[in-house]
Amino acid sequence: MSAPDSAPEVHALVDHLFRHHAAAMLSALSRRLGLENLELAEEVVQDAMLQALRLWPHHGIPENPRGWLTQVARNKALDLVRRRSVFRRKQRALEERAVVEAELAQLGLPEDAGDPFGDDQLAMIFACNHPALASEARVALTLKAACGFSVPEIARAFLTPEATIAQRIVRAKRLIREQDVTLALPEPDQLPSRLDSVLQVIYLLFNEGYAAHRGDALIRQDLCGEAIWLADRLAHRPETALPKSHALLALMLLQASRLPARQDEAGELVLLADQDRSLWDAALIHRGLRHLGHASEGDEMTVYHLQAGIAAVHAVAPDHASTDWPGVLSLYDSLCAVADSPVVALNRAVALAMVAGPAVALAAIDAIHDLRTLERYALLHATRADLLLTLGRRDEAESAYCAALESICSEPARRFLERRLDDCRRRIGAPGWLAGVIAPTANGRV
Amino acid sequence: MNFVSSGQQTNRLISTIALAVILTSAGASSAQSDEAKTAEIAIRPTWKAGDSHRHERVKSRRTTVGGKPAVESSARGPIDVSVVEAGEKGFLTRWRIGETTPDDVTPDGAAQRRPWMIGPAHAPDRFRISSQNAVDLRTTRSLFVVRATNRALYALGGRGGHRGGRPGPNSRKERPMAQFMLLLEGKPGSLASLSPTEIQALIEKYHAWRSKLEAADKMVYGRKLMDEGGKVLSKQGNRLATVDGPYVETKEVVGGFFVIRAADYDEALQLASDCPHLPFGPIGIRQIDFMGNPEA
Repeated sequence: MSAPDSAPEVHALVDHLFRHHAAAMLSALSRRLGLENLELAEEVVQDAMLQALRLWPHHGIPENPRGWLTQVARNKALDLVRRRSVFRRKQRALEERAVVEAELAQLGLPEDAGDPFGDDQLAMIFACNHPALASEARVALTLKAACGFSVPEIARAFLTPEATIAQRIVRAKRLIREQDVTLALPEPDQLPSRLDSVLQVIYLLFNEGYAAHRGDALIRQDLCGEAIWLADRLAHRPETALPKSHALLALMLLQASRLPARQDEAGELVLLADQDRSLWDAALIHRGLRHLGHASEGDEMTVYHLQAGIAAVHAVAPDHASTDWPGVLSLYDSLCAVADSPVVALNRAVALAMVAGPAVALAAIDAIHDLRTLERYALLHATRADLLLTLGRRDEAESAYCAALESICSEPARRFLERRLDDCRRRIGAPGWLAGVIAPTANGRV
Repeated sequence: MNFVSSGQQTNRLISTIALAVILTSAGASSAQSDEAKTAEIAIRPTWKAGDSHRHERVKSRRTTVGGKPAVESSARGPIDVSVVEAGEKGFLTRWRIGETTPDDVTPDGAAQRRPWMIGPAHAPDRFRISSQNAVDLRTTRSLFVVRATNRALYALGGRGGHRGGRPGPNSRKERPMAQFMLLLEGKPGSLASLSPTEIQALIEKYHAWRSKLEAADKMVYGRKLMDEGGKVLSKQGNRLATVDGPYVETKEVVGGFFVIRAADYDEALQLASDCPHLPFGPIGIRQIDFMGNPEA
């Protein structure tokens, strides 16, 4: 039976159905087989997916793809449990086996509507972000076990060799076994603090994808989408729908709304000041603002709140010049108070330039504590250069552009800086952003 | 629903048959309109072999975006159903579909909701009554279900195994094409390391390819062969010998096949040329010999 194939223009499968369903099945199976059997569960899930790949092209897509996949995975898991001992405690193996078999047999078949995200998957996210794991390991494991990415995909996303990623995951799994981590939600009193590390990893994923000027564009776009998906699930679960979850979701939605305008047709970088705001994704902005509303329902004020606030000011501004710069500046002031870092201070200086002029901003930059840690940060030099150029100090500006070009930066950014340097040498006027400003994204990236 | 009686006329019945592919499981059973309450259908075992009926077929398509209806359209045209065989267990019929003309786009999506309807892109070959309130329209390619409100429909299911059966004389006239078998060869296990997303992308490619062929009425049948097992039987001297196979060393083996319609080898090659299988192995193409009687 292949009902949908009579309507080729209707998408046969929901976007990322396989990826997300793989994650859902993995969580469900791991919950029943025990987290120590995570790899076994992974094999079972992969087998089910491959079976679909072998059958569906010939037989058509079944009416309920998720149900089909679940049933196949469940049967394979049952088969495994019956055929060999998968449990550590041999003396209890038989007893456990009976329980597991019963539980597996009850594994529900999902309706083929909506995105499944049950208790199992929520528990899996917390397990992947166990405090015993380093943040690199948490990122890799979250993508692998909670989002359904493959090792090569993670490697492509992070421009890291596959072997390194595989090793990280192997080590993380070993740690999980050694620490005897169970697949369960944290105790209510621990949940808010455990949630912090989950949110941190989600934002890390997002930023990896957002700095998309290097690496595989498609997979990096997926990272942004995946981070938003995860945060969206968290924001819809009563246990995790804390204001900070909404704040992070709002922040990512608002930043993602600008993605379509960040590159021009030639693939060149377009700064916030020059972006065609009609390209911004209004639906994402709308969703972002709504979640920002939910975020303000508690008394907790996190860095996500402040950064989302900044992103929201930009999102609602009709153009760059009429942006509420004093508002942006005061949000940066608050951000500096809770999360002081040279990068935040640099972004604050950009807002300061719009409020108080380039001279004040330049002084603020030079007064940044720990400025030396930004020595290799292209945006520092580029910002200084722009300010200097606006102040008519061309020679200093020129050497600052050169310093920026010597720093680590992406190819489009390099071409951008070269054009700036060229303008500076040819004595073409001050950069447009002091009628406008470099996009002060939350983490300092454009 | 949508089987509208035309009163006394029984033989040249104008009915509305809504061909449906179930889009969402919700609403499949609750799709009832006011019109349907008064509608009675004359499809019942009083039909005899040789009977011919004209119905109106409505093809509707509803696309939903984010759970809300986005686009609704429908087209209608005559469909002539003739009963090839009638028995206690139902009907074996064939039909011909006339030209369809599109309706205006429904202005009020809510009032005209037919959540279970989407027309097939190709002509079905036969239908049979398979369960209460439902008529299965079965083609060589897919099964779709027409929901009828009429209680007189019989709960039957006896006529299985008709997939890929003989099309009627009409269809024979319409497609006097030869059939070709595509043998998909590949190394077992070569896809094992694909990620879920890559697997989905590949399935979607196959789906698009199949749909394209189906829309053009070029796809007859396709099946995957079992991975495990396989025997080769041969006669050695006076006795039969069997060996496990066809795994001659680790060579590529046929993992599945399709049967397609094409005018000649050129067209068959062209149709197979964008089959998503190709990166993974060769496709053998052989014309099926019908002894001059295609699709017999």
